[in-house]
Amino acid sequence: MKPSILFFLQFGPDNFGIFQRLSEKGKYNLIIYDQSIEQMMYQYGLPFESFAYFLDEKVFEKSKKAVEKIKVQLDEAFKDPDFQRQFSYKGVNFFPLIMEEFTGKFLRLIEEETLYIEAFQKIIGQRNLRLIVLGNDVTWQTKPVILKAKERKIPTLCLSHSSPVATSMHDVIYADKIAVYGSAAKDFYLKYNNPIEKIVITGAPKWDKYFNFFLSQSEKEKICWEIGLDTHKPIILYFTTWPQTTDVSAYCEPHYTFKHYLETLKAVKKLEKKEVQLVVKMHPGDGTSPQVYINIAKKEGVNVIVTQQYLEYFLSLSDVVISHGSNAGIEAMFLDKPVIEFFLPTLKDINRLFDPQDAVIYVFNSQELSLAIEKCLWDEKTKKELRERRKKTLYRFNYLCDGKATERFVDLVEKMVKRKE
Amino acid sequence: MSKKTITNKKFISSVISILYDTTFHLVIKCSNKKCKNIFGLNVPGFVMGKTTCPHCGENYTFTSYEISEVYDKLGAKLTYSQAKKANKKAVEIIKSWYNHKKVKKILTYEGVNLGIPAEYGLMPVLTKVLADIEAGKIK
Repeated sequence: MKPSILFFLQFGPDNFGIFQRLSEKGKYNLIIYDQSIEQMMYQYGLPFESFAYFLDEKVFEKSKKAVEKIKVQLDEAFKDPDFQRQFSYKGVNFFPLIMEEFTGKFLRLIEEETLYIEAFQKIIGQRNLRLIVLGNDVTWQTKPVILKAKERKIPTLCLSHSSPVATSMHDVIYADKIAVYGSAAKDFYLKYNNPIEKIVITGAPKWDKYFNFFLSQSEKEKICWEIGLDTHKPIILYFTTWPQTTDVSAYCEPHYTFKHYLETLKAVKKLEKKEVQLVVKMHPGDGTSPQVYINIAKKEGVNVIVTQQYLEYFLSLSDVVISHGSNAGIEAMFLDKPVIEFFLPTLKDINRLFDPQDAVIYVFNSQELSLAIEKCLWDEKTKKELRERRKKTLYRFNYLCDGKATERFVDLVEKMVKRKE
Repeated sequence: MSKKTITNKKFISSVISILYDTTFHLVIKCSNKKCKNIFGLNVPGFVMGKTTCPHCGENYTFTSYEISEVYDKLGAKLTYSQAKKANKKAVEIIKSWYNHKKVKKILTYEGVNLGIPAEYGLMPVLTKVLADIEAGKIK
């Protein structure tokens, strides 16, 4: 039986190269649980098995029964005063306040956990499973699989989905190994006392696309014409921020996302006479209707184009980028764009991705932002300084930047499969 | 029965929580002078919230931006050091509650303590209440 590799949860279409390479080697049976990748495998006629095949009725039935049993027992246990005492803060026993929400949420989470445990056991019984590659190693979907894999001595490898910034739940590496993009990510995990042997720097496979990406001037003009931008006027690309759902620090500035956007609009408004154009690129996880961003801008007297996709195209068209600790700032540097890191004062010391010596300009209010935009657009000295710092910054965040991260990651996968043999 | 749609933040009398489970929990006071009913609404994510007064049928539409503005006045607001303290407590609880003798055995399924994988998903439930306690909204 061919060795099987389970790819568990979302990797996204930008990582398709990994699957393509492994499949073309013809040595492995790939079990995949990512709809976008599965669709691409079909399109390219590459063989794979869907994880969904192992989620049959029996698995659902078993999981349902288990959760029902746990629910009955928990209802009783959660009422125990000694148990509730753990949930105390500043003299307030708050468990009664959250019991309903906590129980409901927990039961929903374990419905998935038990499903994946059952499906995983099925795979172990029916396939020659040698490695599990994970899209993350922190959520309730992936962790039960990691814990079961440890018990069965199946190695686990996590592929970072971004260069991490500090949040309270991303600091521990649960998988046996993690492939990170550069030394910045490695240093992040070492700071939280993770064992060095768990961390392997490969670069970001999903960013390999930037090393073959080029838009000619005529292509740029065509795109701009279609979306209503003028190639002769400066284009500012703004990335919306996204609140950390697991971090209390977001309470320092509730609705930070909108305040940050409003301050950006103010800064752009000040440059009205310079005929700058603003494009808003929404965070992929942002559920806001784009119309909300358009309406807010209208209220502030600024014209905007709001987009939810085609990041590399908009990066290529832009002259300056405004970000807030976003990995998109790194992507902007691949295309030689100046990056302004804009933090509101209340959160200025938290979740910073870049160091001050990196190729970014840090600003903390709309006045500073306006000036920084002007400098990035028209001040040759600033442009030169940022350009000079870019290479070193990119090395920190994406290692060799040679378009071969996919190759290095696939090599790591094969090494781990072999080690198991 | 009135059927007009009102887009106005002044009818939100309370925003109970925000952002952490990406849900706004609102308490709305009906603007219909004959009604004045008080009712609740959950607005998921950053989408627009639409609701109807269950008593008189008055319609309401709120954008998340408007809700955010109201929250500025009514919600818990912490300093960074307060947030750090509350966060530390949230992590401490979320990484240990499942080992309590009352629940450990119940939660163990096929050798896995199901509380461990749930840490990440349950954090928003704790951060919300701990922020309110830290801000002195709950005593």
